[in-house]
Amino acid sequence: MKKALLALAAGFMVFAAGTQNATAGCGTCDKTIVENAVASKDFATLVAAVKAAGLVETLSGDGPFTVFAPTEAAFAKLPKGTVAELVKPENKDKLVAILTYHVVPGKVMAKDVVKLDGKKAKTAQGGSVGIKVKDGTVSINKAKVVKADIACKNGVIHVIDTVLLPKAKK
Amino acid sequence: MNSCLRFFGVFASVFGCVLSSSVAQGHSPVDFLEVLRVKPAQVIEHGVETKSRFDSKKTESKLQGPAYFSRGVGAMKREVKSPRAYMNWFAITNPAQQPKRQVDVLDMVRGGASKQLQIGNAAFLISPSQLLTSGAPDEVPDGLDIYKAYEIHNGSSVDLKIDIESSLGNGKVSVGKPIYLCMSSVEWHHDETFAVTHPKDCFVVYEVEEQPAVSTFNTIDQFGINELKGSSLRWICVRAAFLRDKSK
Repeated sequence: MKKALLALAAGFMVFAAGTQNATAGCGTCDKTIVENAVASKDFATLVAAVKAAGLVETLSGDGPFTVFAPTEAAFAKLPKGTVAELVKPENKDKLVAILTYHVVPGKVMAKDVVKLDGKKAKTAQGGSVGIKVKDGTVSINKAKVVKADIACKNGVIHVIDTVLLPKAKK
Repeated sequence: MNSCLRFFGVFASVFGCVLSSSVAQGHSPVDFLEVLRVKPAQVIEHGVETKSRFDSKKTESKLQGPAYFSRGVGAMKREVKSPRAYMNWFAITNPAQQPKRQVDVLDMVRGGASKQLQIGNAAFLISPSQLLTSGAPDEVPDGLDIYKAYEIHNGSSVDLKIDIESSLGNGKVSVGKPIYLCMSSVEWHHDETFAVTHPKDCFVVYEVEEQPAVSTFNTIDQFGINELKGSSLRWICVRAAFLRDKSK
């Protein structure tokens, strides 16, 4: 009897795992934006910056958010020492402004981003980013979208090859 | 008796005309699609759930690709429809075992002379896509659904040369055997459901003489943006109407 119950429980667990797999589908959509960024080696600097800015909790919240996530190569394009300077506690406001400039409220999938060619999208920082579709490439300001539609539980990540810098407030 | 036969003959031809007309003047947003073999810059591996008229229940389809790309073309004196249709083909790596079915399908190449096809498992899931050039891309044509391409067994070659305005220019292609029947399918992907809008619209895919078709382009589909490198023109998709599943 005990064996039969164990077999039944094991069978149920296999069935449940199979069902979860079928609905999850992609391996990213059941995790938050932060969890997915942490899981990728390509966002190590971004994750460190998000932690230093104290934005982990916000970006782990319900959202939904659209995050234009710069890669390691994108951060490497910045002048030497920029990131090290930004993560210092005294520069937290500046870092928060830069990071929130990469976030657009709502879940904007690539098919909707391309409809905005020539238009601007308002970011969580308050400034706007320009969207351009040219020669088959989608750009956010001067950053090229290199991968789109990484679905997350609380939004979507589009990967970009250049860090977006908001205009300095006068 | 003779008059009875004559009446039956007239009835059959009228019925045939009505069927041909339903294929010719239906609501499908595309009549012909060329199918190119492609290599994607980013191979998509993703699970979705699907259900076509041949599936008794919702099934998980594991996809890999795009392996092929198709675009609407003009053929057999029919101009390409606008907006142009584009579709990305993903291989189904875990096809559900389907019993072989006899179906009747009327397509624009074979006409009413030969409607019967025997089909097996689904090999591809075909997803509408948009070609990215400059500016906002054309919308996906209304009525273009998601399709599952089922293997056709023992399809006989039509041995027909047809005019085509393909990406290689204007010319003739030799159409051979029918190899896939593309049936519309409901798809569930994350929190989105892609419904079937025209359950009887389908496509029959025919082999054509393989021709080099080298090009690089970007598309956007339900899995995001991808760069595709085309290598050759392999098949042609022909608009068709599903008549009946004779296995039922």
